[in-house]
Amino acid sequence: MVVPGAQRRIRTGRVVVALLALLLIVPSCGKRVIKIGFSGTLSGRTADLGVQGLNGVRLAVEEANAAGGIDGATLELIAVDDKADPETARRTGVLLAEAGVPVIIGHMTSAMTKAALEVSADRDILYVSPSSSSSFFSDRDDALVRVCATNRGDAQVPAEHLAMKGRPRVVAVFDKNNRSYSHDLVSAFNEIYTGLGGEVLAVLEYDGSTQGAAPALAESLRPFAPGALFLGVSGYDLAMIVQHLRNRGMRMPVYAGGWAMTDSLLKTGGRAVEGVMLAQFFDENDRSDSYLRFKSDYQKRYGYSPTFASVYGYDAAMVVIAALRNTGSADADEIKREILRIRDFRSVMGPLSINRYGDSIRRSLLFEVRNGSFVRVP
Amino acid sequence: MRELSIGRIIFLSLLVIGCCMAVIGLITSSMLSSRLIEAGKMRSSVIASSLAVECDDYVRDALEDLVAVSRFSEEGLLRPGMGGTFLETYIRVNSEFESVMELDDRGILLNLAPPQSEYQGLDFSGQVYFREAVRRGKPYISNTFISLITQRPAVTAAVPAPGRVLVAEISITALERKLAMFNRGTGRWLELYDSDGTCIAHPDRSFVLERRNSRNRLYVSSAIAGRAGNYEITEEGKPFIVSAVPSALTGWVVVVKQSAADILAPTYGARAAATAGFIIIIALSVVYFYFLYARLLSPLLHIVGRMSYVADGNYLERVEEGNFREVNSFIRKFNAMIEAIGRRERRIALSERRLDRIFTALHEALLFVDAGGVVVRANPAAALLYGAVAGERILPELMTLECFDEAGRAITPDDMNLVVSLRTAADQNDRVIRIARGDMPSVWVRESACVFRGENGDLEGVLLSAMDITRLKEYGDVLVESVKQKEVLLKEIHHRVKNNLQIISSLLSLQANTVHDPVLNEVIGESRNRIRTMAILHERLYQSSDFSRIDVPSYLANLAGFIISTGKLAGMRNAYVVAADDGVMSIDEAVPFGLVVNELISNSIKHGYDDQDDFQVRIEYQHGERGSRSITVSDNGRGLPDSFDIEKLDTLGIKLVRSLSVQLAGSLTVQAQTPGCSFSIRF
Repeated sequence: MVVPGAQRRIRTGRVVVALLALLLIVPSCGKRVIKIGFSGTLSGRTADLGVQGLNGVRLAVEEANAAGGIDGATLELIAVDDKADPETARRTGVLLAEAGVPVIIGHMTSAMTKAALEVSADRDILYVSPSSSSSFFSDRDDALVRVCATNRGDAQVPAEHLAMKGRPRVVAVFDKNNRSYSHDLVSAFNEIYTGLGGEVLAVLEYDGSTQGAAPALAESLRPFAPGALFLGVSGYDLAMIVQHLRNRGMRMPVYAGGWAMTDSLLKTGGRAVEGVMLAQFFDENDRSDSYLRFKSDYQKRYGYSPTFASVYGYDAAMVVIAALRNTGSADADEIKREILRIRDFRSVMGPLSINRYGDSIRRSLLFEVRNGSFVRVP
Repeated sequence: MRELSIGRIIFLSLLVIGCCMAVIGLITSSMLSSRLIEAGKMRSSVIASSLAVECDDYVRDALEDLVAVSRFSEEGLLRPGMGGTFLETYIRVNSEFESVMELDDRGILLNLAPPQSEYQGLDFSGQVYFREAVRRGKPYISNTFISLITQRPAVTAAVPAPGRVLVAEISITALERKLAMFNRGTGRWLELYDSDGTCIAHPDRSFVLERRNSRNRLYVSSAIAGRAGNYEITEEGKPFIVSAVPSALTGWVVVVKQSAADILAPTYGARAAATAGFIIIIALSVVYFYFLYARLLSPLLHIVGRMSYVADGNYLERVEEGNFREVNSFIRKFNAMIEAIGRRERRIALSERRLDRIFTALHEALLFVDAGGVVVRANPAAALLYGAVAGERILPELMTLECFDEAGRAITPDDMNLVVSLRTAADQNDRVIRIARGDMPSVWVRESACVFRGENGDLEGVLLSAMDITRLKEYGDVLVESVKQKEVLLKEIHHRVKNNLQIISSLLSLQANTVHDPVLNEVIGESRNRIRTMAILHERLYQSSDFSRIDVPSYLANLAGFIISTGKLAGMRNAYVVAADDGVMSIDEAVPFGLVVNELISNSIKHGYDDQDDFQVRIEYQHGERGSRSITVSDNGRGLPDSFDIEKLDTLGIKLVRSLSVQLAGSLTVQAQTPGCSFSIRF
């Protein structure tokens, strides 16, 4: 038998207990967090690529979080610097995996990506690289998805252009410090250009980290008297090499892969790099709505214009976010399966298709340095 | 009046006191916190401003040093090749310079310190610093970048001179170190952002190396736009006080950040004390409330619980006494009250059961209907007669009945006693009606409706009672028939007796005609009159309504008329007068009464008449006191002789008068009067 009034008191007691419980529970009701990683070279001579790539990734993550996150979960970006060192690249992958990161956007160079993949097999982790364009990764069922065009595209466009210009004899140069990308690019160029009837006189190795490497390369080219050069080096190194070539009166046409197409090339190369031809998917003068919107957002966020690395970083992050939205899972295998299932994405620079090996299919464009800027060659 | 709970009042009072104290504590703490935050903002703002000035001074000093070097260049002291030595010495002295270049007006490197042969003769015209210095014609400071030499943030300063541009990479490492010293042990830390919002000094080195850009933070973007300010922000769930001040020369943003927790640390003691005080008050409140509840309110609530038992009809429960005298007194009164209520309830229940038994056992149909026409109670007879079911409306059941009055006229439901009583709120007296219901045989009932009123006089309900008089009515009909038959028979008997007596009288008359003896004729005549008297009596009887009583005045008139008409006075006008009070008389009295009257009238005619013309016999019949009656026969004849003594007279007539007076339990009085005499019998 319940005493009258006691029931009301019990009810009041329940309300008080519920409120207290609510007070205890509410602070602990934090938002769910999904961690994604970024690995790239954020310091040193090639930091420009990593910093710009990270900026693109961060912009995408901030936009996604501002739009409510992934099913209410907040994305947390953890960025690490591989210092352009293979051992560091391997170690950062392990560290991020242990931190509970299922997917890492990176690395920005093929060499670092190749090193990182060596340890990824032991970890439940997926790499989505914005700019690792080496053909080494092509047609492999590995833990890598790429949003950039492969080297073959960057090699084919200069080779065809040279063939059209009378098939001058070419000396090709690759960067020892990013051999995976660079040697692959040069090899592809050699194969395609030879196939088009051209001749590659020599394939030289370049180590930009050693003092005096640029003048030494310029001197070493003199005996070949090449009709043209094809280089798979960074923008800074290309600027240094071309400066020394021009100082020595060597005016042959210079072609390079997309890696070199950076602000650093223009600033460091000055007038010397005028006329240098570069193959790249990214066109900074693109007038499409998606790029103009991205460029505006990027400038607003960082105060300066984006580079191709920024665009690739942003695209890579958007691919990952799309897969996370669909799966809601933080499992690397599931994320990869979802990316391959979606296959067709909308990137900043237009449609982006990813094949069953995780390689993207994009058409490279040819640019020329004119008056201190990159101008697309029709 | 609103009901108040003692327990709740006490509890709320304590809660209000506790809350007030907590609110006062919180307000005080909040005011103190607010003051401390404002003071913290002010201190941070001052520090940020001074550091911004220091940043500017650092870069300005470096720039002034470079301008001084440019004068050497103007004076031609820095010739190509030789100038490198000078510059190398110079940068060793000035630690802020990482490298110094002398470019010609086309951007071609002339001198470089520290020397690096691979740069010699290179074209730097593409560099922004060269172009801007040449374009502006005055010193230019580039935005920050990560130096390839130091891997730390640096800026490039370019100073134009005639035909030359002096370019120096100014490391801000020294400045960074100076700022880092500030971060140690102060509870605050410093962040430095360039004019793009890129981090160039931060306690976390990765922010600098990764070129983290914080332009999206309000305090950074506002400072970049030239607006210094203080902010309260939350980062990673922790509150911070931030002062952001732009430097005038470089446009860099100096950010001084301090954890709000550190600033508010002095208030924690006060808050802890207030919280502890609040908790203690709440704890004491709980203890006090528990004490009140256990000792005072609990017994009261126990009583309340027992009250609900009583409300449920359980009067056997009793409340145990506790520790408080006042409460126990209340409990004893309460228990006594339960006892009294229990007794009363038992009596009521017993009475109710009896009433219910009576109600059920009665053959008379009883039906109680509320004011809305819903049956509240119906005994089996009512259920059988009216089809009434408790809880259901009665009108539909009445509609199924066929009712008729004694004259055989149909009665509509609206005219039935129950419906009329409900409508008029008035009793309906006995009414005999016949009720036919379905296939059941119709019954005669004596029906009446009695109205019940509530305390306020409103109609509460109607009790309809109906007695089945079908059998009585059948018996009555038989009896009436029987009485009718017996009346006829009695009438016939009286008639025949009268006829027989008349026949006897007639026979005596015939007999008298054959007798010539006057005495004998007289005797026969007297006898015939006596027989005639009884014949008239029987005639009156069978002409009366009930055959057992006669109407005295008409009987006297008949009798007197007959006696006068058959005697000496026949044909005399006004020979008699009958003055009789109205009244009836049974046959037992009527026979001696008639015979007495006959004897007295006959005597008056026989002894009083003296052939006078105005002779008159007067017959008076009167009601006296206490039911007594008197019959007086008087005349105005010759009167009584002097020797008249009624006790000594031995005539048949007088004997009859005396004996019949006795039979009537009356007393005979004889009075002489002038003229005539009067015989009176009071009985």
